[in-house]
Amino acid sequence: MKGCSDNPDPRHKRGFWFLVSLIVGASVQAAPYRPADDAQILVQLPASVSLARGLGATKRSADSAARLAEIFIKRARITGDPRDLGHAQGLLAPWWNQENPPERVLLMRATLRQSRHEFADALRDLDRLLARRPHDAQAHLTRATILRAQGRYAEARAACAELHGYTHVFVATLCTQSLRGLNGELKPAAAALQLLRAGLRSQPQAIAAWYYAEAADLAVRAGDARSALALYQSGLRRARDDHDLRAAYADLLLEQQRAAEALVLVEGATIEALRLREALALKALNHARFAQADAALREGFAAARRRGEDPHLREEARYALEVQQDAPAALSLAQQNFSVQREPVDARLLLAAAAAANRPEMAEPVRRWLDESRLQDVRLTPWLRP
Amino acid sequence: MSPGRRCAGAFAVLALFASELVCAHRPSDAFVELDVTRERIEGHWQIALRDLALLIELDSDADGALDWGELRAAQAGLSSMLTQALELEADGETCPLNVDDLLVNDRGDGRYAWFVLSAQCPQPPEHLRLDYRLLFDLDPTHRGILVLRAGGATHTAVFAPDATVAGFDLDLPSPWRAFRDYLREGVWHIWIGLDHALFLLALLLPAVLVYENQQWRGATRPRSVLIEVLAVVTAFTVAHSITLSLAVFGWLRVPGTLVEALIALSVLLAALNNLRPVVLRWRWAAAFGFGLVHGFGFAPVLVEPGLPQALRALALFAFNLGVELGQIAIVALAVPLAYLARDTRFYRGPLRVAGSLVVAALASLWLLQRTLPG
Repeated sequence: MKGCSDNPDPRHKRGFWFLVSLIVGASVQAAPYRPADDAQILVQLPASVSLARGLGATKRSADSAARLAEIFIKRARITGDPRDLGHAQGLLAPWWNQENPPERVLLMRATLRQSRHEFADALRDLDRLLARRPHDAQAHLTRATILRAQGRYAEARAACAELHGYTHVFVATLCTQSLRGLNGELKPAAAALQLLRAGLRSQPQAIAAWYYAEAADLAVRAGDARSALALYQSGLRRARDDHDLRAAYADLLLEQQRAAEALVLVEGATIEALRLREALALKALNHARFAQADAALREGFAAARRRGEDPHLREEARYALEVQQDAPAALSLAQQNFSVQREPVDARLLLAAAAAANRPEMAEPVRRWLDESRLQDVRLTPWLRP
Repeated sequence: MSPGRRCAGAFAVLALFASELVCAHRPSDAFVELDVTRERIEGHWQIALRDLALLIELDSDADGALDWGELRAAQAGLSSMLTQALELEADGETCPLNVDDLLVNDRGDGRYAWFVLSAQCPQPPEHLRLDYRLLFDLDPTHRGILVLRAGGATHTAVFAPDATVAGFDLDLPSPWRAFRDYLREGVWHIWIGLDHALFLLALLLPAVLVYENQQWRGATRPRSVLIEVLAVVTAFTVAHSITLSLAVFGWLRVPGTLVEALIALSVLLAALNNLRPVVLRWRWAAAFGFGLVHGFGFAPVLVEPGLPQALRALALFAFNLGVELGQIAIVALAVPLAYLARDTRFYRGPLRVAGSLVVAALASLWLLQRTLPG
């Protein structure tokens, strides 16, 4: 059929590549073998396996199911293992398709949906929950996080405001001030966080990691790399395994041409976001292991596509832009990504990809959004000069 | 070493780096790959070892590590779970699934068990239905990724809790299906391919007339009409069967464009012959001569890639039979009508002339289309 090969509809292309990836994915890595020795260890089983086995057999109340699910969700935050999220969802299965399930289930379902970037569904769950429990701090906080990820700063700030008086003042302030810092008041927000630092010691590890990530991000966007580096270091001293801190710190090191240090930070990571930084560092260092990391990364993206999902749009766009240097592909991915999430890094990716592809007009949505959000970020300036 | 941090082992192509290799965390996927050959289905199912450990307690010595002996010991139990988690159905009848062997395979995200599968269907499936229900209760984000090969085609599916069933119409080359399909194809080819039908009609319709003293009159002896019709149809059939066979088995190749043009020319000449007869008694010979050309015209239908060599002769026979049935239907409809109408002035005059002119015009148009470049 004529014209098939140059079909401009990207969905056709994606459908085709989806098919190819299914077939290839099933066929590659096909070298099965029979271990010689019964004593040969095949795999170390993670603790979650024995925890999750038999979960399906027991009948339990919505409340205890949601509490168990929360354990798996917390675990996933540390391990970065998506199977833990799967088990959490499995626990909620009896209520998963209900319109208005019990409150704790709603909260956990919203969290799981958020983790899958199903932001609209997650927000709907939170709204239902808040209609029933208007002062649920966790619901407001999750809501603020989602709205912020979508670049809806005014609404996110309103959600943070709901926290005051219903949760620890440190958390409420951190929520509000970090949004202020995105929303056109970078300097005052940085000053407010500086004041907050005194209360840091008494905060749990996860909150401390969040604080350092916000404070460092403000410094980076203000162009103060020195302070930012120091903040990331302090943060990682407090929360060694925090993935977000690690990724942000590695990014800054990469920007500062300190790839060797970045590599040490992310080497051997098990989650895609960190593996991308690892590949970038290896590439910058012309390291022999780059090819291996690159292949593994691509296989990971393909594995997600095989499932019919694209959870790594941000990483894929950056990979296409910085590793493959395929500007048209990067642009298309960055556009899709920006339609899902709008954090400063997402804006930067689309601006950079549009410029690399010689189609700056494609970044127009970013410019419009920047005008509305009043986001300040020195790293955006190279693309914003008229 | 924290759990899950280190990859189970060597990732085939990267074996050199095995000591440094760390596996990515990915959501749970299992891979089913099946090949359908007639009623037999063979393939394998890859399931991550840590997913298998969710199904039954594999770590019998409870040391947090799974060794080959522990896995092997669980093979029977796992097999019976797996054969319940994947059901195959051929045209409504179960194809019982067997787990024939257990191996191990290393993938980018860890070590997998590799179950060798086989299933026997009562007959070669026209429609194969798969029902997959592994792990969905413990991990609804689990996906079963299927690649199914049958009759030269590859089908895929992704099983999920809201999509546990996948059905495929398989184009399996069974003799009966080939026969049925090509018989139908033959009938259609005669009915839809206007040029063949018109050629035949142009030769047959004058069979009910006799040309004498520069004019046409109705035939008086039905026997001679019948003989004439049979002679033309048989000659056409024999001729196109010969060339069709030659083309299908690749013994003789003629450019398609030339064949198409000659077919148009044959229709044109047959129509003109009815206006001003040149060939009369030897119409069967014309039918034979041009039948050779028409045979090459049928060939592309049968020379398609999906047809296995073993079934080619059968398909050829079925197609020819279909063509004959199609022809007989046309003859059975047209000749008696023509015979009844043969003595009317209308048939001998306006119908013959106008009909032949229309056919001749159509054939000229085809001839132009098929000879002009582009």
